Amino acid sequence: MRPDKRGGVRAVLKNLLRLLAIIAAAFLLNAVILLCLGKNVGQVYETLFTGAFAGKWNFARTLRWTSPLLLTGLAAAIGFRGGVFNLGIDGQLYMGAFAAAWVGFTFTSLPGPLLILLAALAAVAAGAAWAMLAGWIKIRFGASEVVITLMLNYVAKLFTEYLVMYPFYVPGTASDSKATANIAQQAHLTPLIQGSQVTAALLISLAAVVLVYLWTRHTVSGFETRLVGSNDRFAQFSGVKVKRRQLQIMAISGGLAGLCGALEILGVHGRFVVNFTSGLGFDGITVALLSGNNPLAVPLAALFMGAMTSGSTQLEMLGGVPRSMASILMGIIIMTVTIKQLPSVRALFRRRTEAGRT
Amino acid sequence: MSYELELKNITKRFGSVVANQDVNLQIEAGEVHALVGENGAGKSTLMNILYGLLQPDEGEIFFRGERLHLKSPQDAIERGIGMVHQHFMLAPSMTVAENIAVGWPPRGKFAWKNADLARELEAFQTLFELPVPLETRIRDLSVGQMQRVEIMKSLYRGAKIIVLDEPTATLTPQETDELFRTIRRLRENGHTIIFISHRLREIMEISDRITALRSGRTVGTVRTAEVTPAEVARMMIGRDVAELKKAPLQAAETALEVSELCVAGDSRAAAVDRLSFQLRRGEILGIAGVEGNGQTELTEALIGVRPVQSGGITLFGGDVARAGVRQRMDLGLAHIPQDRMREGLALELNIMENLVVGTHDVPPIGNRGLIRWRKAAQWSRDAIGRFGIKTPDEQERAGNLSGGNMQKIIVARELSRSPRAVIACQPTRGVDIGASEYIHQQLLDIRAAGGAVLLVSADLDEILALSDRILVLFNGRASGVLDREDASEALLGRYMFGLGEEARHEA
Repeated sequence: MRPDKRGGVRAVLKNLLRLLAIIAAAFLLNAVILLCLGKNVGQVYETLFTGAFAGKWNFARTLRWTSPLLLTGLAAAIGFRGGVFNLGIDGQLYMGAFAAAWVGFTFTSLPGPLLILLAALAAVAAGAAWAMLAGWIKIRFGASEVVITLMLNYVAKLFTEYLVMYPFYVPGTASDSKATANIAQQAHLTPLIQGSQVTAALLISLAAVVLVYLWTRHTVSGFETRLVGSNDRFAQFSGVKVKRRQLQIMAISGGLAGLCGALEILGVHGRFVVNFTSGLGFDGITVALLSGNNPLAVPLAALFMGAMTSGSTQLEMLGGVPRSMASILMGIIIMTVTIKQLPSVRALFRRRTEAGRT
Repeated sequence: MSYELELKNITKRFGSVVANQDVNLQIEAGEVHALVGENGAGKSTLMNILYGLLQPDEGEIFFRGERLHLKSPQDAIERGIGMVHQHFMLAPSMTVAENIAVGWPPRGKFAWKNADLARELEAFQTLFELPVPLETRIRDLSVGQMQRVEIMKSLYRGAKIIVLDEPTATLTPQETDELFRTIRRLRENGHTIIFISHRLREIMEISDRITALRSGRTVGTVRTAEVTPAEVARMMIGRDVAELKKAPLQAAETALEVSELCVAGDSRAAAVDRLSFQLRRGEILGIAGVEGNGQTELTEALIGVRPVQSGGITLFGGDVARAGVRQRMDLGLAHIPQDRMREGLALELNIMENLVVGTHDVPPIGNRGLIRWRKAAQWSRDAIGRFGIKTPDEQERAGNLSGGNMQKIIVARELSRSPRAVIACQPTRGVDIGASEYIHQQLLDIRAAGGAVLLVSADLDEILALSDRILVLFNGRASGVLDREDASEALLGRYMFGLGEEARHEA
């Protein structure tokens, strides 16, 4: 089971080193900013760290955020791998979340496992369909999927809000709760840590990571997807149906986003709430960037992002440092991730020169 | 005597691989010095050391008797060493003038002085015969024009010594002639040229002296006037060039039939214009012609990535004019594309993954939607051995290989499928003599085994060496179809410029 040592385990190790270097650099830069603000750098970072990892509850909060980031990170990474830029993960997530909630509060007489399965499937289908709409527009009309997916985010958010406020409006609730009815009790996911928001969603998400990894490495369609992502013209010249693969990768990416939405509803919220989350999709893109678009590296990157989210909550509560400090840190990390192009351009040069001697 | 430039005992290792071992190179002022050797012989490493991109582990560089320490290309440029890479380093969306001036602004003290720049460049253009419109964007230029921009860039930066890395690999014969005129003008004006090439004919034509490298060592330096092409080839590959074994023609039934085919190009209507021809099993049909006369559109239509406007394509009796790429592959069609980087390889993927494309979904490698990488690895190692691909292993990234080795991957992939018909486009462009010889023999073996080969090439030597019949394309039409016995370079040349029937009468 070692199809490609450079693409698999070895790449993950290389990525890990790169990841650590990026993060260290970002923390250093951020320290400069903190110093300028007259903050105690050591104290801030300590709070951030303890907020993420110290004690059962803090760590549970980290895992709670790691879980959805695994899926949105995977959704973004798999899209990048296949050469399509899915910036519509948030929208697909909302569509999936609503579909799951609808199943959860409609078929209340079904037994738990079946209901959960049905809700998840509905969410995957909704997310995939929403993403394929963007994919279809790209393929049919040659529009840029970056713009289309991004814009469809707004459509999805407003459309689900409309659904909540009109067709599925629950009489008797205050209209400012802006939520659907509660899902059936048996549809709630089992908590892994009692009393926390860490549920079976984490295991499902990890399973998805492994499945997607196996898919890209070991299946014909996964291989063709990587081929299309690496050089679509070559893929076309070799008889690969490029457009079909692009649509498929959109669907998979959107399906993962939809699943993420379902797990948030079934695991945490228990109903669909308008604007129940913000930024999971874009944080997913950061996770993908950090992972170098390698599914196997996604868990680490997601854990890191989850820890940052969790730690910054603590920072705000105790440290007297605004939560935006963590956002700035994330911003710096994203910049550092993109700057990684600098050394790799150099490596490219080196490669070109080495090419002559092989 | 003292040399303009001298590289002494250069040694460079990459890990356990020795790319250069005690290499010596002496360049005289004002000469055209050809640096020859097979892919991987160490030419690029040596030139990258000279250009400051790499630092030698041992050895010294002397320029006009003074020892140089080149830490970066910037150092080399300041010393008057310029380099034109095989893959151009130009920004497509910027104009010619901007590309030349970038990073090296016109010498006005404060402002960017366009007028001064233009004046300076126009002087180069007349002096060295480098016509290029200065305000045109790079993306609108031909390959030959882009190369001129690169040469001008070097000159503008004050280069006295210009290294040209396989400059003719992607040029048409006409552009090559123009380049040679420029090289001669440069030499007349006291510039020194280091010319890297695989093509014996060009080396003999343009160079004053030749230094050959083999396996990272200097084989020797000779005066071009004192050697024969065969001797140069022997210096390069360490043995005599083998004669191609071409079996007598045993053409059988028609494999590929094209009738009244019309194909649109990207920018013009009838890139292929009512073209008809037949390719029989057991024969090689050469498609000659100046590039841009419909060859690209024709091959793309034949393999199925470009729509056919009208007319028919019949492959082994079946109408495939509207069939998909894969369907045609399944009928036994293989294709060696003209642009290996863009159309023939996924550079980020490894050699094995590149080798299995097309067979990855059928047994023994594909198995009900899964890929059996163990089988693929076995198969790849076998192909690497058989086709002599130089690589540590099948897991090496394809983009890390040299041009010749990349081409071997494509040839290995396409010919290992045991195709019944092969469309080979510029199969040996930028490939060294040894590998060329090998690829040519492979094509002849396909022919001997009853396969049909369509050889599209701008290289007339290649066309004449392999073809049984030759079709000359001009403006999307056949300006002539001849048997090999009736063809000569002169006659083909005239057909290539559309001098159809009169050429035949004169011949």
